[in-house]
Amino acid sequence: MAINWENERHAFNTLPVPQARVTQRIQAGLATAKPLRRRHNVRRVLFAVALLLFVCGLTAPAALQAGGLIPAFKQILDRPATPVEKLDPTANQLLGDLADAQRYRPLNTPAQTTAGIKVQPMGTLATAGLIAVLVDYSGPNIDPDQLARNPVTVKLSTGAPVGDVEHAAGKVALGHYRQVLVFYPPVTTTANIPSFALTFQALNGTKHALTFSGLQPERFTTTQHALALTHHVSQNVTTALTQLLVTPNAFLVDYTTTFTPTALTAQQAHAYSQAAWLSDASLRVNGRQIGSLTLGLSGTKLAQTRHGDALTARFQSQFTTRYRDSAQHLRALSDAPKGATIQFTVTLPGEPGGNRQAAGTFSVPVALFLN
Amino acid sequence: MTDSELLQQALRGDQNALATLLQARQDKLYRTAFFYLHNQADALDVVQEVALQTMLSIHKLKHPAYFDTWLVRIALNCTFKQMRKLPAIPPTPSSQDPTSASDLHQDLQRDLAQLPRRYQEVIVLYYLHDRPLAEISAVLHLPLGTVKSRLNRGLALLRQKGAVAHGYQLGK
Repeated sequence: MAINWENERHAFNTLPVPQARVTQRIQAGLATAKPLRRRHNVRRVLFAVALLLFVCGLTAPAALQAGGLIPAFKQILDRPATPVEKLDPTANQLLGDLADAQRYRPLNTPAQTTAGIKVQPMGTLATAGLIAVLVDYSGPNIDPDQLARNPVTVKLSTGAPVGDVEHAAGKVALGHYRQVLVFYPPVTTTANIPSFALTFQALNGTKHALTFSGLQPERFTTTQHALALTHHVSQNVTTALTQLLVTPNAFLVDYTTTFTPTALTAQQAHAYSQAAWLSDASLRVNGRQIGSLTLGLSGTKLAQTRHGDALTARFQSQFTTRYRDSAQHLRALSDAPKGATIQFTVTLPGEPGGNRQAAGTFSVPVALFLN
Repeated sequence: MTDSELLQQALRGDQNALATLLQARQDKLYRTAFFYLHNQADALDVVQEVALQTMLSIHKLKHPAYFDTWLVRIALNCTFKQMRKLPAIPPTPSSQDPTSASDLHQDLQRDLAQLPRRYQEVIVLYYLHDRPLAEISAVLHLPLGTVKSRLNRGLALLRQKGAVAHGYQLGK
């Protein structure tokens, strides 16, 4: 039998309807609409007020702090605070989170204001061969990229020279920028630097001279181990590990190259005198590698001495007291298995375009690195 | 007063004008709800909800000429919402050999309820409420081609899966 849609429509249109009750329900529905509408309107007004208060609350401090509404909005649109990747890998790991000021020992240095920008050194972090300073900036039109390019010089109270100063800067809050400055004082006499001075030669891309003197880095404990590990590369060349200086977060390893320049080519002599570096340190158990130490700085030349025909160049490298295991997890050296050793390799540049040359490997028990 | 004049007043917020328009269409509203719910109390709840939603959203009506289709769409949405609140009722066994119009009508209702909502909407508007395809397209904010394909797809699903496969003439 065939049933078509005409029939279905007819069946639908003849469904009985309780007229009075439906009319009543329509009236009831319309009656509930009025208070609901009023409630909707009240909610809409409340939402608008809340939004207005929120926007005012958000922009007013920024407008006061950053010198106006436009810079305030510009700063809202700036990149959010994220860990920086502008330092060397070890420093990034230690200091990359600009929002984390807890790591630093607070400094009681008064802030200085130049060109409307308030500069406040906040704290320092120090370990053997590394000092980091945290500096806060607030004011109008701050450009974190310019901050990171500000030339800064460091003068240590010990008189020891400081090479490059590394920078990283970023936004930590609205109208609030932060910079971390990292430098590497070579440790020849003492690892604890009594004080230092910072001079900013430019600020936010404009030339200014701003000096903060007498900044005292945090003091840390040091343990020194004299070593006498030597490796004869040839009849006229010897490399050696001479000293370890261990501190809570990092250690310094001193190594030397001793050679007779007249017995070598000029290129070889130059390499042993200037370019020997120690940047490879692996954690081993029974000869098997189980991890790698994180390098801080490698191949800082400390001194060169002469004994007769032989020259001795003294270098220094810095590593953190943490290592990456085979699963790339970062672990403290204190968690290393019993009997583990650290194997260092002194390396030289190869022939132009050639491979590097190993100029000696040295094994040191992990126990010596535990401060 | 004509429907068009009443509608203009309703659009300006006149509750009495809207009440008049709804009462003139109350049979359709109730039947649409009852078609799915098979229960007077639930269908009346839906009618009340439709009146409320119509009053709250009448200002959003873009094509006053399509008021009827727009209203049925609200009724369908409210019905579906009401169905979600109700406990699921297991489908009755389908009649393998429907012998009466009443059996086939019940089968159609049950099979239609099994379809995805997007297909039900166009089938109910087109076949039961006799709304033109162009109007359905405007109210559902869908291209005409989509409305047609939904209609065809819905009918095909009814043919394939439903008990209405028993000789239904699915053309209009």
